[in-house]
Amino acid sequence: MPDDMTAIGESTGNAPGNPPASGDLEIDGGGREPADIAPPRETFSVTCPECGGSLRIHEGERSIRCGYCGSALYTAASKGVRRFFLAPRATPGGARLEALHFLAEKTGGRIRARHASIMDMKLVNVPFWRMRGRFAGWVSGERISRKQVPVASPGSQGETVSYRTVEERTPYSKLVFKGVDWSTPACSVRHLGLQGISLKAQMLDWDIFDHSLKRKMDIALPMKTRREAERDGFKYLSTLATPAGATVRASRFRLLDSDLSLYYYPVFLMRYRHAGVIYSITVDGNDGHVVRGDVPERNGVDYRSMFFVPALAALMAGFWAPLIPIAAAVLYIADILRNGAIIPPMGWISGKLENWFGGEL
Amino acid sequence: MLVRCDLCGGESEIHPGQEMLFCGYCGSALAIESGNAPEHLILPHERNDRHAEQALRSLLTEKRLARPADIKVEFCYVPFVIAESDNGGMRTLPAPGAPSWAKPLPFPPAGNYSFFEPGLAGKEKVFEIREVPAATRQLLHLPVYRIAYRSAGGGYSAVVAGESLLVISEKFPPAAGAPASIPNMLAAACLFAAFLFIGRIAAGWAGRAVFIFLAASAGYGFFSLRERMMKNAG
Repeated sequence: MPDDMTAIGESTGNAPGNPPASGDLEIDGGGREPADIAPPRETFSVTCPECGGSLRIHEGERSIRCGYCGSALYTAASKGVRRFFLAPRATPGGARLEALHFLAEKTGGRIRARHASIMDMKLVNVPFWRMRGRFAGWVSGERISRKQVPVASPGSQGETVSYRTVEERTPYSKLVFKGVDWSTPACSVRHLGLQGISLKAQMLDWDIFDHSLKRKMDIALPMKTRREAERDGFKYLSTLATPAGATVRASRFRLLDSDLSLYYYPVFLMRYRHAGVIYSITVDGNDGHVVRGDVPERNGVDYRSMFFVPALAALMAGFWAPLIPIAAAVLYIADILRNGAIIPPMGWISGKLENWFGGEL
Repeated sequence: MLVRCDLCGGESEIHPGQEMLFCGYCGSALAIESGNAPEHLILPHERNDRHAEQALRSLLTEKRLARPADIKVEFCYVPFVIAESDNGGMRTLPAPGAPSWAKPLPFPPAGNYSFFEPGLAGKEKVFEIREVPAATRQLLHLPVYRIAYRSAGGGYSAVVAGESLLVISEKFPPAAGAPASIPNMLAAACLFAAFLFIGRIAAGWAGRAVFIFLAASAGYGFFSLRERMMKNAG
């Protein structure tokens, strides 16, 4: 029995009626390429200590009931991390419609479905670390309160009263014992348009996620380690346990029966193009509402150049038509002198037109 | 890799990084205690050069940079490692064996990851991992586009991550204005004709200049006001 999976009262590798000699798995090398053969590794099967029946225990699972004899079993130190996923309730069609409504609403009807070319839409399962358990400990220090105290001082026209701020420090100590249900994103979620999702507030029907599902689902890879998540959670809970406006002299906290698991939450990510720029809108895969979306800002025309450049050209054309190419040549030479390099004429013309008349009317 | 269940003798496939599995025959849970190599995944991706090009154009347009021309797109699977840094965070870095132009990614793309099998890359080029660095948590073969293009007289290159369409480049072309669309050019031409006509109404050069200036100012004032009202309404 390995140390990191100590099931209480559990035995290994003893199936009823077919007791294997040891818990190690055999390696099958017959007729296979060497690359396909697993090197000798220590593996063991997990069986019920009461009846010897094989158990269906998932990675990270802490408690289980034997399917044969019904014994309640507890794994003292589980292997791996428990992972869950949520089947989306929203449909891709519904999510797309919601995203397009959002787009039309946010742009005041300026951009509708026909103006946005939808590139793709996919369902992404976003990982979150969720910590559950109990947080216990104590904290002591001083509460700081500030008061305005009247101070009388004699003056030439009698006694005057002024106010002084006085800081009062009161010692305190506090016992903390509270249930914990805390979650944090396990990957960079900004590019997915999320800030975070409160898993606590939602009564959701989670299913167990195992490695085989990776082939069937689009997932974002967790980039926050378990250690980091634990550290963040502990820090957050410790801050929460400390009263506001107080100093901490001494404290000791401990997480009891804590369980840190990965939860994959579904979101629809829709990408669309408008005026040559790609934007994305994220729709909650559970409730079908838009979580966040990028909408194009109106890239307005510079009306000053839009009106005054043609006006100046019309004035020159009315006076003497060749003035227009002469003025253009003067501008071109000025730009070359300013840049210190020769600009291709066509590139210069298109650049000038873009600067003067570019943007949305 | 294949292992045999010690309860029923059935063969099951395991992948590096896997800590537990269920026997495909008898369903019993099997735990793997040691010998775990880092998980090696590949993100299969349907090559779409047009999307990669659009991602690059989108970035350049958004940043108001000069537009690209003579675009050449290459596609391959580049090995990356997810490694833990000193401060506990994870980073996605090119693995030994990755091409020199591969750059660290701010985050690996979200997608339909599979355990690595060269066949999943199809006919596309796959760079092999030369060695696995010590602190590696995961090995990834990610789809990457390499785009070479010309812009504003210079040559540039960019890397576009498949699936996320994230564009990474060290050097971008110089700034440029917003594209001048055909309706804008038509509007400018119409204004030119209108000002020419207005100029003919007045007598003398000074009067002509005043008329055109007043007409341009009125148009500018009206449309600026309209723009401001639209912004406020938005």
